[in-house]
This record gives sequence, C-alpha cells and structure tokens, in this order.
Amino acid sequence: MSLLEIAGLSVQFEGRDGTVPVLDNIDLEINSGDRVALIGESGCGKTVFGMSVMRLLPSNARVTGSARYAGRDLLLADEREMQQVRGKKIAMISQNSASVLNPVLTIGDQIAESLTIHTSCRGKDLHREVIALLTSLGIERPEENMQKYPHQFSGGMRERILIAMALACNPDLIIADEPTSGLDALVKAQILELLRTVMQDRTLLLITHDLGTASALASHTAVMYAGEIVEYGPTQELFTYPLHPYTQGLIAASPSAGFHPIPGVSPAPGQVPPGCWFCPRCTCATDRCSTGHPSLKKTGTNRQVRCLRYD
Amino acid sequence: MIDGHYLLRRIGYSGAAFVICVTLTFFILHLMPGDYITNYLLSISNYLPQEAVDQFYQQYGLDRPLWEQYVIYVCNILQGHWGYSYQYGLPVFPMIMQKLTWSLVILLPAVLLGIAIGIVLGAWSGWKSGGKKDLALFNFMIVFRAIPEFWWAIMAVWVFAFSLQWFPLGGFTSISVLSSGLNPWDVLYHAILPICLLTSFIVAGNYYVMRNSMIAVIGEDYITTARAKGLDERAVLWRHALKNALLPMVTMTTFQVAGIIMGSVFIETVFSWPGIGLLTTDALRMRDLPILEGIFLLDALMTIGAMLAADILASHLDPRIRMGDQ
Amino acid sequence: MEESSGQKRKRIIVYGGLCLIVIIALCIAAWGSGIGNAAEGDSKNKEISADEVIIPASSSSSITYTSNMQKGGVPPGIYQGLVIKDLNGTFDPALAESWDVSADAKTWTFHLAKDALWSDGVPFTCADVKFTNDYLKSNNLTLAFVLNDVQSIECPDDSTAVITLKTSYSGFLDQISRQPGITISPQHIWQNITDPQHYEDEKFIGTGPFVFDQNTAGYARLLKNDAYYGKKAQISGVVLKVITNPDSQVLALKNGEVDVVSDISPAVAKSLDGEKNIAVYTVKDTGAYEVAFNLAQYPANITAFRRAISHAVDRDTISSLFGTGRPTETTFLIPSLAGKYVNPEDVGMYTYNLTEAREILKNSGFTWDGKGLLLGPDGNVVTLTIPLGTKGQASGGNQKIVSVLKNDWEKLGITLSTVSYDDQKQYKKAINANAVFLDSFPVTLHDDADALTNFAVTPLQDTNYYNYNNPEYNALVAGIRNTADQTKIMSMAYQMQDILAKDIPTVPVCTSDTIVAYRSDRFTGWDLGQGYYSVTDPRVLTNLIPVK
Repeated sequence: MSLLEIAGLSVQFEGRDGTVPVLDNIDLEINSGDRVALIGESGCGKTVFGMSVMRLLPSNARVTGSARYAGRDLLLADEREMQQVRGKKIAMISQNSASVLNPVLTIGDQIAESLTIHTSCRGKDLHREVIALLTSLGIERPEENMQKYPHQFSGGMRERILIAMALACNPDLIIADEPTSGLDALVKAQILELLRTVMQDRTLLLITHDLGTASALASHTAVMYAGEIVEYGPTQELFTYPLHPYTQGLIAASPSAGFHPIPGVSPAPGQVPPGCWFCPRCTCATDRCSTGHPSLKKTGTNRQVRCLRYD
Repeated sequence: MIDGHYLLRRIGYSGAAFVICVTLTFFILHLMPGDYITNYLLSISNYLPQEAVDQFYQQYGLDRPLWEQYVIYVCNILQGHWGYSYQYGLPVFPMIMQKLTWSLVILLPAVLLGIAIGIVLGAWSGWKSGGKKDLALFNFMIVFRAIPEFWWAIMAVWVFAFSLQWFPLGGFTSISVLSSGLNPWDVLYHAILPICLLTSFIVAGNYYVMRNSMIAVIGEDYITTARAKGLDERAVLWRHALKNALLPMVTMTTFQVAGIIMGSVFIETVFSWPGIGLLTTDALRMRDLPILEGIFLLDALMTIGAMLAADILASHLDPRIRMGDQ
Repeated sequence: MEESSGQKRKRIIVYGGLCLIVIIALCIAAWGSGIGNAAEGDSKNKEISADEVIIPASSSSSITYTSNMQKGGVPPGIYQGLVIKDLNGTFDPALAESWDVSADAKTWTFHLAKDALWSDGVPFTCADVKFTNDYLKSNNLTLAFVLNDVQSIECPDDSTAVITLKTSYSGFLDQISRQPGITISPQHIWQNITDPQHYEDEKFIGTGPFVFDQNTAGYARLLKNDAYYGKKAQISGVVLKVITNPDSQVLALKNGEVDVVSDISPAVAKSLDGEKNIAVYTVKDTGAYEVAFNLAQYPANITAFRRAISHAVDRDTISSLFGTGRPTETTFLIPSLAGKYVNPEDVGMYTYNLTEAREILKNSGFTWDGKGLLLGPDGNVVTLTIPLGTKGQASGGNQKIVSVLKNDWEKLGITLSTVSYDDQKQYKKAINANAVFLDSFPVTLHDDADALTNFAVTPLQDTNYYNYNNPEYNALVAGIRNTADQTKIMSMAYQMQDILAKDIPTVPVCTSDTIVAYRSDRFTGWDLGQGYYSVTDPRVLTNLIPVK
C-alpha cells in the first residue's frame, strides 16, 4: 500500500535575480514498511525534498506537483492540517544534531513537547513516556538526563535524542536527514545499529550522501542528481549493478571502493546544461547525450534509470 | 547555572569594583576644574571675597592634601556618612532619596513597560520580518527615532496637554496639593504623559535589538525542528524563539534598569518633574561634590548589582553559560 | 501565520479587553484627580484662594532652601533687611524706618520699625540685628563676607541700631541691600541652633509682608502677613510653581495656570500680542553689556589701542540685535537708573568710526602687512581671543556682540576668536590671560557712584577685572568711600567718569530690557516701572490687586 506518493514535485526558490529551480519533477512512491534512501552529493536538493514534503520550506519556495499522504495532497493542506501531520504522522530527524536542538530547553521538555501537542498524555504519564523513550534508545539514567540541556551531551547521544523525539508519537513515516553525519566511525556504527533496530517495522525516508548508511538501512534507494532522480531500485540490486553512470561514479567515489571522485562539479541550480544534466561529467557520454534530456524509464522488473543508454 | 563558591567570589569582585569606582569618582570629581564656593559667590556677587573662599575650603577640609581628603571620605562612607550638600547644607542621602523617589514614579513604570513592550514588539516584528506589518512597524520606528526625543516631548505637551487638555502641562501634582495634601491619583495623572513618552523612547531602542536578535534566531535549525514537531507558530515563537532571542537583551535591559538612578534630564525638564537627573546636572554645574559623590556612589552600586543580576539572569536563561568552575 | 476565524475572534476579544482595562484605569485616574473640569482653565485653582498669585519658578532649587543664614535668595517677602534698594539708586526703608550717617561714613545709625513682629509673634528689636551680625561671624557662615566692613553693632535701645564700620564706606547701604545682601534673622530661633551649616529651616520665621506656609511637591506657598507693620499685601498669598521649561511657562500662562511669566523673549512677547486676558510690559534697562579690556595684557595695555577699539564697536547695530536693547549713551552708569550720578558733560568717546580707529592705530606704531593684517608695534600680527563665560550666554547676548565685533575688527586687520567656559574659575583665569573680554551684568551694579569702584584698586580690593590701576582714580574712589556728603560724591563721580573716558578700561555697549507677560484677568499692579524687574520683588507683590 502506498503511504506517501509524490508525483511531479518541483521546487523553485524565488530570489532577487529571478527563480532558481532546485527540484525538478520528482516522482517517488513510498509504501508502508518501505525504507527508502535518497542519495546524492551535497547540494543536489535532498534536504529540500524532505522539507517540501513537511511543508517547512521558507516562504520564497514555490512548490508544485503533489505529495499524497493517506490520500490527502499535503501540498494543498492548510497550516493547521499540516501541524496535525508534522510530528504525529510524519516525523523528522534533522541533520546536524548540534544546532537542531533548542539550547535553552531541557531535552526532556523537547521530547515531551511532541507528545503534549499530539496526544492527551500529561503529567506523570508524560514523564513515564519520555523515560521509556529514552531508555528504549539506550540513554542511561533517563531520569537525570532528561533534565539536562543539549550542550551537555555528546554527538551520538544527541542523535539518540533526536531519534527519540521523532519516535515519540509513533509516526507513520520518519524522514531522517543525514542521521549519522559528523559522528566518528564507532559512534556512527552504534547509531546505524540502533536505527536498524528501531526502524525494523517502520517506514523511513532516509536522506544521505553516505552510501554505507543507505545500504545498511534502506530497502530501496533513489539516486538524485542536480534536483532530479536519475536512478531508482532495490538497494542491494542498485549497489551491486548500478545502471546510471552517476551511480557508478558515486560507488567508485566511496572510501570503501578506493575513493575515486567523479571529475567536475555538479551544476549550480538553474544552470544545468542542455541534454543530459550529467553529460559534462559523464565518462560514457556520446553526442546525443548533449542534446536530448532523458526521462526516467523503467528497466527490468523494478528498476528505473534516467540515461539514454537504456532507451 | 551558578554555584555558591563562585557567587561568593563574584561578590568579592563586585566589592573590589565598587572600591575602584569610589576612588575614581572621588579623584575625578575633586580634580575637576572649578569649585562650588567660587561659582556660588560669583553668582551672587560681582567680586570674589577671598576670605569667604578660604573659610569655606577650611570648613569642608578642601584645603587638606587630596589623599587626606580621600581617606576621610572613605572612612565616612564606610560609616554610612554620605556628607552634606554644599548648596543646601542638608545630608546627601535623604536628598538623593527624595529626588530619586520622584524620578522612580516615572522611570520605573517607563523602563519596565519599555522593556516589556519593546521585547514583545521586537519579537513579533522580527518573527514577521519582511512582512507588510513588520515593515510598517519598522519604518514607523525609524521615523520615530529619527526625530529628536525633545521634539516629540514638546509636541506631546503641546497637543495632549495644552491643546486637548487631556493631561497637565507638567509638575508632580495639581496645585490642590497645597490645600488637600498629596493625592496619589493626581500624581499618577501627572505622570501618565511623561511615562508614555519615556516608554515609547525605550520601546524604540529595545525594539531594534530585539527584532535583529529575533531575525537571527528564526534562521536557526531548532526553529525548524520545533515546527517539524507540529507546533503552531505562536508556540514556536514564544516557546522556542523568544527565550533564545532574549539572550542579547539581558545585559542591555538590566543596565537600563540600573540606569534609572541617573534619571532622565530631558523628561524632567520638559515636564517640570525635578528628580535625580536635574539634581545631578545642577550639582554638576554648581560643583556640589558631596551630592555628585553620593549619586555616583549609588550609580556604582546599581551598575555593579546590575552586572551581577545580568550574569545570574543570563545563566538562568541560557544553560550553556555556566558560572563557576569552567 | 494562518488562523481560523474563531481564533482570530478570541484574540480580538483578548486585546480589546486589555485596551478597555487600560482605558478604564486612565478614567479612574482622571476622575481621581478631578480632570473632568480641567478644560475650564481657572477652575483648576479652585481649591486654593482665588487671590493667591501663582508665579513660575524655573528650577526646584529656587524653592528648595535651607535658611536665610546659609544662603541669600530665600523666597520673596519673608525676610527683610534694614533697607531695600530703590529704583532711583537710593534706598527705601524696610526694617529701618530712617537712618543717619556720620560725616566720615563710618557710623551708621538705623531707626528701626517699632511695631515690626516676627511671624511667630515675637517683637523685632535691635537685638536681632546685632545677633545676625554676630552669629554669622562667630559661626563662620559664608554670607558673613557681606558684613566684613562692620566693626560692631550697638543697641542703645530696642529700636535703634548703631553700626560702626572698620573703615569709612559711603556705599554701605548698597552693600547690605543688593544681592546677596543681608536679611535680619530672629535671635529667639537661631540662638538655640548650634550647627547652622546643616540646619534645615522648616518654619522660616521672618518679618516681611509674607509668611511661609509650605513647600510641597514642586510648589512653595507664602501667605499674606496680616500682622505686617508696613504696607500690607492685597493678595492673600503667593504660590511658586516649578516649571522648568520656559516654553511650558508660557503655555501655563496661556492656560491660566500661572499669573505671570518673566524674562520672555521679544518673539514670545509678539506671539502673546492680542492674546485674550494677557498683557505684556517691558522693564527698561535691566541688563547691560560691555567690551572690556585687561590692561595687563598686550595689546590692551596700549592706551591708543583701547581708544582705537572704542571707535570700532558698532553699538547701534549690536543693540538692534538684542531686540529690546539700546546703546548706552554714556559710560559705566546706566543713565536712566544712576540719574544724577551720570556726568552730564559726557565726552562722547565711543562714536563708531572705523576710519578714526585706523588713524589712531596708524599714529601709534601699528602697521598692516601685505594681506591687510594688523601688525602691532612689536611687528607681530595682532590676534585676539575673547573668553566667554556663562553670563550672557543663555540669551545669546555674547554671540550677538561677537558677530558684530568680528566683522568690524576684521576690517581693521584683527582676527578674532572665542573660547567658551562653563566654569567660573576657569573663566576668571581666561580673562586674566587675554586682552579683551565681554561682560554682562544686572544694572543694579551700575546705578550709583559706588559702582565705579569696580575700576579701582583699594586696600580692600587689590585688583580688578580690568587690571586697571590709576592712582588718581583710586584716590577718588577712596574719597567717595570716606564721605557721606552726596554733593561731594557726585562731583568726584564726575571726575572719575572723565578719567575712565580717557583711559578706557572698558567700552560700554548696550543695555537690554526684561519683558514680562501677565494675566490681566487675575491681578493688576505688576508694572512698577523701571528698576523693578523681578516679579517676586516684595514691593511688586504688595502692589498687586486682584481683578475681581
């Protein structure tokens, strides 16, 4: 069953010098129980995608298309409706745990807040609930720690707190944006393990630039380049047999594969070349790649790819 | 967060700061050119009777070496003797307190209201930054501040007190005080216009700081986090943004409260409300050193107290500030 | 932020409610103070007697005082001296009904008012006069300097005081009556006070036409003294109301909150013209200005230079700038006030004539360089700096004079600059270090022959502002001091004026007026004519008559 169905989602930012397209015509379907990873280089629009679904983009963002959640297009919902969705139905684990927690509120308060808004849980129940959450996420001495402020925790602990906040109301979908960035290898492994456990029966949209994280957590992976999806498929298959030259490049660039970076840089938003957007950096580009823009095509049973080679 | 040992040490430092203030005040005032008796005698007489000057110097110990005067002064302060005004011959402390009381009638409500309204308006405006309402308020404040305060005060007197006669022209109270005694309502009625004016000036000052601070805060990630939890805008503003945006205001506003002690000369002048501000300028003009020393002493106490209060307040608002062993 | 209409409504109710509360609070406050009838002007004064005159005071210190022993300038009409200075340069009786002076001006006998009473009922006697002198001196009070010349005071009987001076002094009456002057204090009150420096007088027991009532919250009130031995006041009292801002004083006059405003500018006087129930009068010659020389400094030590400059002061233009000013026709005494003391054969030294000024300079060793700058006899360029003090600064008088001088003196090749001082001591120092200065003063200092002693060096005054020291002149000053004979004094005064006109230690510039506006629907009798420039002068206050 499709939980979130995104169709033709485009985002443009209005600036002083006209509008800048950031996301272009994204189609993505997340079924209940799916754990979908969205991978790509920094600046390709991954985070904007997550935020556009939550309707948390700044007021100068123009979002078109549709994002149907439980049959309701979130892009058409009003603010009050969205407040009922956020945190309760769709929760978010934002990247950079050092700045996404409010420095002047205790973490207990910050976790309890979602529960206070969305549930009728109050007083002692609320307290018990928060302690249970903290315990389930491996935070020791929850009674004491819930009185502490974010700066008193390490990066790994803060990540756990963020996960606790997201899980608080038991949402249908969790959007996790770079949950392991900025952590050292050991802690990262612990967090990944934790996420794997808690996300076992949940629906996850994982946004990351780290292929390891994606392969560890995701059932499906979508690869994003310059604001559009260039390849989609089951994670294992996609990493074993990458179809798109960009996906191949990403895999080759990962540290485990010997760190061979893709030459060149991604185009700045709004300054994409004609034809295939990856063409200038592509090792297998031919003449026709610089003229016709390829569309996302189904190949095989469950793979999609945006490359003229598979036409 | 604050711990007891640290607080004690902090109070010790404050004491040292106070001693330095007292010393500096004493020497600056005493080394200031001019003296009371010359000013006074030349204001009432066309020649300077030297023997009267000498007699005055001798009576007030001003003919002794400066260090000796300083030691005597410090000893007196420690014993609670603040000295006598040269001009009035009255003990300094009750004189200051009497004037200060009148000043506080206007300044205390004005400063508290000014801080509160300034914070609320600034927070709201910063929250809505870029919006029509914000720009309207922002531009209004710019115009309001661009025109000198004195002009606003004169206009307010002219429009509300003289033309419309809603308020009195000035003074502490109506003339009926002479027959029926002091009526607090009447004093309040006389204080409303100056309070309103002073409040709006303080609001305008705090508004900018608060608005800027709020604009900086709304770009922070934790605001997005709060929204992502499903909080409504008002809860995000008051629960998450305000407390953070208040941090830069803490020092500023505590010093505003401490600044009450210096009064507001122009409000006192425009509204014939002779309080601590006019007492200070008058004492400065006449070189009435004991009064000046008393006022500056009180000011030093208030400022040092305000610094302590600001630190404690900031540490309560911002848990990252830990006062003590770090 | 989007909201449902229900929430909006709720918010409107909350804010509306808050506004209502504020408005209600204001109404209660207004009601509490009875502003319901504030718009009717005069009714504000209902609670106090309608024939109490209300006078604005510009600073609270003018009604905050401790005692007349410590300070001069206590509220009007409470205390009295022996005599009170008259508009004609002579003296009116006060506590002394008449007086005699010995031929050598050394022994002064005062015949005191017999039925004068202190306001607490105790009779006033000579003992109080003697006590005041002795007490001031034995307690080393600052005001004692005014009585420095007094050797002793004897009381042959209760109503006679004989004052013996250390040296002859014909100007003694002036000394004790002009500011700060000496007012007599009650012995029965003060003899028990051991620390007069720090004594706060709360009763102000005096002998004058008014009795102290109270000093509260920006008001001071004096009531008519019904037991007064002299001319009783026809008003029931005087209220001094602190109004610090001069503009507000005028608004208060228009509103009917005060009955008189003094020292208004010509522009304000004009704006009050035609205002209902407000009348304006001018007291002539209440202030005077001079361009003075410091004879100890080059180039003012050269007599020819001073003479030249005396022809380079455009007195007509300057006085026209004052609006209410007029050039002084003669010298150092204001003719309209000093009257007979002014030398009728004035030599007319100070005519404005730049050509003549140039001629005098040329003939006495001054030259001009290629750029037209004046070179002194020493060959250096002449530059002058005028120190400006606080006197005459507020009204802008000094600036007006400087602007004219600058223009004219530039034509003579003299560069002029100014430096301002707000401290008297610094200013005095600066005067001593520069050749030219400006001075302004109330004309009471220039209305009799005694005023001419300002230019002298005497045993009591070893120097003067001008550093002027002419033995011939000093001798005349001593002569004036030592005689009580008015004819002699007058002839000596004439000689002194001749000497001054020749030596030119100063160039008198102009006099200015004081303009007073008052409520003509409240009191009449304000304008007593020239000499009575203070609206709180007891003689003005006792002359007032309520309109209704």
